[in-house]
Amino acid sequence: MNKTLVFHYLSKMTFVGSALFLLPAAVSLIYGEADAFRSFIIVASGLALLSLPMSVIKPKTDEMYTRESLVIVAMLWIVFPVAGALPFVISGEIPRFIDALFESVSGFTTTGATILTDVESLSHGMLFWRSFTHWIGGMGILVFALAVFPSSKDSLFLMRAECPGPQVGKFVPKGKKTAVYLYTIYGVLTIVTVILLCAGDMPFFDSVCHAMGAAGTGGFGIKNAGIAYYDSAYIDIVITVMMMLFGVNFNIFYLLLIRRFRDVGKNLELRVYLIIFAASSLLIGANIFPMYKTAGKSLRYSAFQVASIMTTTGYATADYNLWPEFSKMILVMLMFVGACAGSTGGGFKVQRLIIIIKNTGRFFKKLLHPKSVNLVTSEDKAMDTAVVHGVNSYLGIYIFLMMGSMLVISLDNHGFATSFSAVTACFNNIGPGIELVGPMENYSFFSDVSKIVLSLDMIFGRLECTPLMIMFVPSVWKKKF
Amino acid sequence: MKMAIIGNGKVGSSLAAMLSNEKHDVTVIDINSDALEKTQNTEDVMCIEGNGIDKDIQKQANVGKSGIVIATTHYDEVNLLCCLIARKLGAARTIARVRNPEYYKQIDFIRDDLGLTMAINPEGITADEILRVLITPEAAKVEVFERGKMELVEYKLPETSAIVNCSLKDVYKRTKVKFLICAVQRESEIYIPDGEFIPQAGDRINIAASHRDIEQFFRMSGTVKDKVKSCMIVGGGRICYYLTKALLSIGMHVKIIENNLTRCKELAELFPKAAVICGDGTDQDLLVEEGIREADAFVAITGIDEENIIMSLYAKNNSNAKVVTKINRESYVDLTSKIGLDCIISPKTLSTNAVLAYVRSLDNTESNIESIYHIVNNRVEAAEFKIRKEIPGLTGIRLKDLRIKKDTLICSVLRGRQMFIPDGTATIELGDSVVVISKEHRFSDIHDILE
Repeated sequence: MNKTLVFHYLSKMTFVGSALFLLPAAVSLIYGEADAFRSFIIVASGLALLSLPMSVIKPKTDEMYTRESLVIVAMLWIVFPVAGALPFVISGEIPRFIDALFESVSGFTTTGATILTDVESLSHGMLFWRSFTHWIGGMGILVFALAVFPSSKDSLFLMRAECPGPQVGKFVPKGKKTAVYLYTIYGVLTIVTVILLCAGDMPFFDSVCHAMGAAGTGGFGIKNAGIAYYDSAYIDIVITVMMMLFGVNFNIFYLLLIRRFRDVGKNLELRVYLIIFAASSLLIGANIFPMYKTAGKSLRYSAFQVASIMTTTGYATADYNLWPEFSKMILVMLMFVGACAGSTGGGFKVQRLIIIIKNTGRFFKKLLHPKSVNLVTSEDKAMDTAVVHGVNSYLGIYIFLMMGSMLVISLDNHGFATSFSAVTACFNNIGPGIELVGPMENYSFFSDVSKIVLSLDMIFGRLECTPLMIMFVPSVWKKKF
Repeated sequence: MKMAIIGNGKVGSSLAAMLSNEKHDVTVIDINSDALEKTQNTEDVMCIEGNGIDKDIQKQANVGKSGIVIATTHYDEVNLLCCLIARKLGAARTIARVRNPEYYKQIDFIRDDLGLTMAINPEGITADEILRVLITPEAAKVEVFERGKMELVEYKLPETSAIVNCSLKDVYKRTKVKFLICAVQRESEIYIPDGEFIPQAGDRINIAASHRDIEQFFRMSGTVKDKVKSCMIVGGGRICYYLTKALLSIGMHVKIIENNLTRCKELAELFPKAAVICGDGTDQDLLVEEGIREADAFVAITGIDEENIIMSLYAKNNSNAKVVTKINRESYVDLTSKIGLDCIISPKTLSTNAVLAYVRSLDNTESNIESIYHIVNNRVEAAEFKIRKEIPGLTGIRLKDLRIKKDTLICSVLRGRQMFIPDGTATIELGDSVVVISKEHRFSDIHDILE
């Protein structure tokens, strides 16, 4: 492996990281929070100082292959959350490191699971930082760097390692331009959300934090009651629509921009995504109708919750722990569906689900007609068998890792629904599960071991397993073969 | 600029790499997904799988908005049709690879109707290159600049050369011949030498001078070789066709060895003056029988790199002939120069350079690149610029007072019809044509050479 190159990227990224801390520092300055400001500046300058000696080492060659890119991505996703946890600890707002780490990992991976019992006690700077990590983590740290740094031909490797979905491609020839377009679309949509939320009488600071949370499909709120605090149908609808938009593959937005509407219409994943959303909302709406009495209200709550869970955001306007079992079961199932590939959302991804279902269909056809030639097709084109196999293997890893984590979590003895949904919610980057980790609860009661396992799950889920797993393969670190 | 390359073969992929390195937005179209996968992984380009002749695929690649579309599939007809469709969709310029001599012959006749900007004929270019080397047998490679007035010659320094172990300053002072050593490859290091540089035996040096001065240089350094009068060519493909035509026209004796009887008959009919032998060029007895020991030059241009290498080695060891070897795989070039074959011709590199020079010339309107060559395994670039306007900090200033980038050298100036190698007191004036040698820089404008 080309270790000097990996190191070179790490040093570059540490520098970018230190710059990121200046934004929350500015927020603390505006609100006059001296402690928070000081802690952000300490971490920022610490990282900058660290990156200086690191930058002395120049890469011997610029050969980058898949393994280098995977290792770079994995290392970054360990370094950034650790650095992100430091301000919480230094300022004393979350005194225990494990808790701060959990919070920071949950932020960067856009999970939105918190260990805070009283969110409102945090300073503005910290609240902003939590939401800001969602925004950066949503589209990706490295994609951000690719958009900022001069273009290189390694860009696709890095993008592929960080972007979710079975197939990652570029929509313009240059990797850097693709990254710039991604962040532009992302930024504009976020600003639109802020404006729309402000129009609904949400204070500006709250709007910014919630918009970033929705954009990254994260889910950190700044009120103990979550979005329910505002109790406004308008805000609920804005956030529902925006969460759904951020759960769409960003290629779709690009296709819309260049006016290729027919291609958008042909996109199967988008259609399935919307159908699942509509069907689940209607079913849950009908199921909870007796609780809320009016059709409008039940649909408002059900649509919000379905969008929130499906896009793996994790905002809540109602405590769905109190809903009937049927609704809860649908929500749990949605946790496994996830958003579209190439979006900021996590989960298993609608695209993969479609491929698995089609592949299963092919399997049955083959049973009936052993000699028939069937291919998995997508939009009238045969799909690469490597992609289909990749999806199947991913499903295997996905199940295996989740089962392992559940086994460890079960040592805490908090009941089946809690353990199961905690792992599911963390692995799929959603945040709230059911029972003890429901939307109005938090993760503070777990033991340190469980918190670390859940933190790892979140990173595994965000990076779709492979980059982090590759770190544990010994041959990656060896010099020869 | 946005560009599309249809056909991701050897030339297509190396063009994709070079053009994307020069910050162009490149989209590659090919039917073969495996080849695309490789390009996609190693280059910063977008790849689209599909038939480039399909209008919808071209639309998907945004060909209509492209500045240049380059068609380099295996088939001439497909290339021409691709270009026609691209023009219909609105592409500004199209370049097609046309190999068939019959097509190429009449390309000027149909070019306008096809909307074709340029046709590249790799075999034709290769034959020209081989011809130049055969005319200057001491050289491993010859590039021509400034309308043929300046030559850039690559040459491996033998121990017997008079310039070995003298600093260049002294060499220049001692001789009357005007020449400039502008790039040196020693082992894997590349130097752009200054006056203090001391050449050693085994260095591969690049000399810039007029053709007459080059001859004088070889005479002076004591390494002059006899003029090539007879040439043995193994491999009767299209390069052979173009080469034989050119060699016969300057009165050389040509002997062609080719495996395929039908092709032999064709060649015999085309070139009654040449001797056509039907046989296996790797058969060493045959080579001896046909007089390899007496031939002045031996050109191995079969379709298989390995065969070319083996034959050339045999020729090198068993005769005094000037040996020219065609090699397509870039990775072989380094290896072969290690085992003593120094005159390597790669059609792929030649066609890539031809396209690249054209693309560069489009980039800038002020001072155009006239031609461009990659020398020393593509690591040094020689580019010819035309000075079309006064450039502050460059024109009218003595060269020794110029502040130009490191590892950059102004190696020749063409003023009016006079070519000269500039010294420190020379100046560059409006209307001059200048050749700049550079390492690790890619200039698209003469202005860029300034610090």
